Amino acid sequence: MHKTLLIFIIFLALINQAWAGTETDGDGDRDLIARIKARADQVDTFTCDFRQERHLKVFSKTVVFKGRLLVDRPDKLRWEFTSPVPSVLILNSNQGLRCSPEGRKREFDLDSDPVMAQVAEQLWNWLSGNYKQLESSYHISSQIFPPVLTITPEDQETAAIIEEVRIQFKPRILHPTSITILEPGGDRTRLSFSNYELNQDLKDSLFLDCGDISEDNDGS
Amino acid sequence: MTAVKWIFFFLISLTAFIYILGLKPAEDAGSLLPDDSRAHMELLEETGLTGKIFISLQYRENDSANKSERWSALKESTRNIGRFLEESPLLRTVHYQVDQQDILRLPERLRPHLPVLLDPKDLREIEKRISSPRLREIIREDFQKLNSPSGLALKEKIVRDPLDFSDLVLSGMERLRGRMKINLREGYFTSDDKKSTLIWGESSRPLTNTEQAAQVRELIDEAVQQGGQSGIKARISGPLPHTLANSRAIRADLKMLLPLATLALLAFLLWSTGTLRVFPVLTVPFLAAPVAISVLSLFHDRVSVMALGFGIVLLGLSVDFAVHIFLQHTNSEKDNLQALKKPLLLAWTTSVSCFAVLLLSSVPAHRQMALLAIIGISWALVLAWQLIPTISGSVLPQRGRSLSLIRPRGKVIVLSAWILLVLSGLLVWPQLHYNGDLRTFDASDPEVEENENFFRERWGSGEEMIFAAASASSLKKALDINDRLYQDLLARGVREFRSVAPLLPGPARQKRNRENWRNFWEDRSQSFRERLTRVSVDTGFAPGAFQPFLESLTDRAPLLQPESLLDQGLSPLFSPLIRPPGQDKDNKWLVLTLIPENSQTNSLVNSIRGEIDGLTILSPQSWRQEVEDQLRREIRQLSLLTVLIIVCLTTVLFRSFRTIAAVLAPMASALATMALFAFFSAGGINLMHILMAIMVMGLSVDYGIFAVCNHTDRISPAIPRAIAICAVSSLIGFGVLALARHPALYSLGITVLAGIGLALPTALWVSPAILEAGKKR
Repeated sequence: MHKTLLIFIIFLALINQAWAGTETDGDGDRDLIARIKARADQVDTFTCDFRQERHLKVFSKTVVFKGRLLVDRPDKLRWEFTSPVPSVLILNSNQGLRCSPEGRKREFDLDSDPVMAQVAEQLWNWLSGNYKQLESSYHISSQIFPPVLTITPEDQETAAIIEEVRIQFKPRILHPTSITILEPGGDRTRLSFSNYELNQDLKDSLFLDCGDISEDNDGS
Repeated sequence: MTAVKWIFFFLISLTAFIYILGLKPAEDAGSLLPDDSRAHMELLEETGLTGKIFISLQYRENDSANKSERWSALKESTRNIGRFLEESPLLRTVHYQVDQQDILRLPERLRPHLPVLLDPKDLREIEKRISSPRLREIIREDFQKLNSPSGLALKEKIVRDPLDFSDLVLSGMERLRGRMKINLREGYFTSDDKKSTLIWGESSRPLTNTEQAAQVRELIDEAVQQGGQSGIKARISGPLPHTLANSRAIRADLKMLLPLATLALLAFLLWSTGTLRVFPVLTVPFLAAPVAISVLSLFHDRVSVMALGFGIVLLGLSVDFAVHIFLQHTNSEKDNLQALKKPLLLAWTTSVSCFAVLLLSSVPAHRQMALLAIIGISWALVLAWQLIPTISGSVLPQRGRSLSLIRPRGKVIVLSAWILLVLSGLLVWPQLHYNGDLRTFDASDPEVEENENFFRERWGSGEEMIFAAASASSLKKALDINDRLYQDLLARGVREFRSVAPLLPGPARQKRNRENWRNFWEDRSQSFRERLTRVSVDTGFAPGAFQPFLESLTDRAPLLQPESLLDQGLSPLFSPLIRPPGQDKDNKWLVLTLIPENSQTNSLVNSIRGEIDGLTILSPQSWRQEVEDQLRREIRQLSLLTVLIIVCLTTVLFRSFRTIAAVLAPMASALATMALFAFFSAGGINLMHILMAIMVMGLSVDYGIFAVCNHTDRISPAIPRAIAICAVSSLIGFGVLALARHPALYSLGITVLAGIGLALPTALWVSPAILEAGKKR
């Protein structure tokens, strides 16, 4: 009996090992990307909580920020930190708004603010669900289980800021559960997402004004 | 003998003609300006103003395309058209895009040079930022930024410049733009409403040159046709459309009016003389043209096209001499050609004297025109006297009653009417307004005006600007001069002006700034270091997080080499204000500052004028006013001098008061009529009126001379007929220009119509009446 159980356990572990570490070939990458996009196309809006860990050499320790993310596809996004310091970043088509806890608001236009345009581009790259569009300027490889996309920039300018991005997805559902951004020199950022709510009605005002940024606002 | 004469004069004309074939007339707008204002005109050309082209692209309204499609079409059109134009040698520079990456990298490029770029006023701002409360606030903001989504892009900048000293320098970008309403979108120059993009450039030659303007226009049309997407409209602004509108208007006018005038003239001459022989006879004076032009070119290096055109027109005056000689020679009475000598010489004297006055003008084109007319008329008289009798042929029968034979009943009525006319003219003369605005000669074109309005509304503030040009053999020296002006303007409270000085200080200012920086941090760096470390650790930074920044405070900063910012990527931002050598006659660098012109800046700038070596200040509005005032004074003096000379000459030549009055009567009529016309048409008088009035005075005095000589010496019954033919020919030849659309041609034509129109009947009816007044029959 014990011998049979031991063999079964070893067999399961081997199978698990095989599944966990399975890298894909090109066709496998495209298949995963396509499945992620198909899943994302079913989602018009989503909200979720996030936890951000920033590991930078210039920080004395790992800095953790928490917040809430609201997205109304294709071009509205609200990135709201709730702790330790509340602040809001809103993208609405080509316009944007940044609010600080001191009440300072700064509007910007992505067409004429190249820095914020870059920021917006990166956010939409990782959150849009359409990773196929990145294939022209990034190298993408994937892992089947758990589903992970590893994205490496090919142009020098982006590579000077980002070394690699790893996006992990929840199996079957294919929502991003974490994004890890590796920067040259060893700095890294990890974002973890949870408590997804899909296809809720999100008020327009959430993407037009910061509101009271100290409250936890989930769009209801 | 006849054959010898013809060969002799023909050879002279042929030699002159061959000589002038190699002549290149200069289309130089400066030749129309007084001598001492030409330097300013040249400066305007050196600044590139006369060669600037602006092309506004916009998407046509009422199109079904969405915003994104429109923007794509606009972008692609801008890029394609810009690239097409870049390839052409007709354009020295073309700007349509800035590399976004170069803009993004600018703070990084400038960071090592901050100590040489920051002025004392910037150090006062830095003092505030390094104080404890403000420092804590800034470091906290940096911490938040590094943790925000923009942290990735800003990390390097925050670590190296946590207090954002770069921002103090980059605010200088606003100085480059001034009040122009230009934004950057994906590197393209866009309007505030994002519905238009701008391409601008500079022609390799001034666009006041018609030929160059036409070629550049053709190039732009081709570029738009090939590179413009469907739905895109292009509007052109700058000197080019004005040059072409004027040229088009003049050509259209001449195309319509020249054939009309020629046919009418030929028909009239045929009818009045009754013979085809009149045509070859009347071409004889024009053989004088090559000789006149050759002699002119010996006195002037550059013969102005405008002077040439006008001069040839004035040469037409010599046709009057040919008419008199021809009619006298073919008169039924005994040949009395010798009797014609006196009036011919007198008429020549007065005509030449009129033009001699213009030799005193400070305007080169006027002097050339006058010299051409003097030489041409003189040589034409010689040709006419020598050659016309050899080809006039036999006596011509008189054809019925001619205008000259019509006499109104009652000398009293005639004289009374004339006196009334002259008195009316005298009455209105002081009330006439001289319109010295040279822009009245600009042919208006609705499309050109619409495009100018569009440009002002979409891109510019519409203000007139004062140009201050710092000029030197090297860019660094020019920037040093520019800095002196920059600091002077700020010290005098002038805030709104376009200058490269905040981003490109000269070496002298950079060294002073570096010294100020060193002194500033010498006293403060230790305490600041401690404060920054404490605040940053409290906030969450590692103790050595800002070490590179702290080290940079005491590093010796390198001087910024201006050429490093003038590379391709950023050149569109600087090129309007920095002109490399090769574009001005002295082969110097020009650095420009543009100041909006108003009463405050005018007086401020005037106080700076002459104080800074190497700096030239030009206010186009004030300069234009000065030129107009100068021309007004001068033309008034010259026209009065003309009248005086004619009066003196006739006094000396005729001596009797009655005779003098009779000779001058047509001129008085001409002047009175021109004054009355100007008064009642409410248009005032302008430069063109007065220039032609000088010619009309000469013509009308000639009619008076011939009428008086014929009356007193009984030369020939052909003379009144000749006077009539000459006057009507002038009326037809010049008067048709009153139908012209171009304002300058219109002024020319209306002056002759009004003046000669009344001078003719005065010569035929009033002059004899004056001579006969009071005499017994």
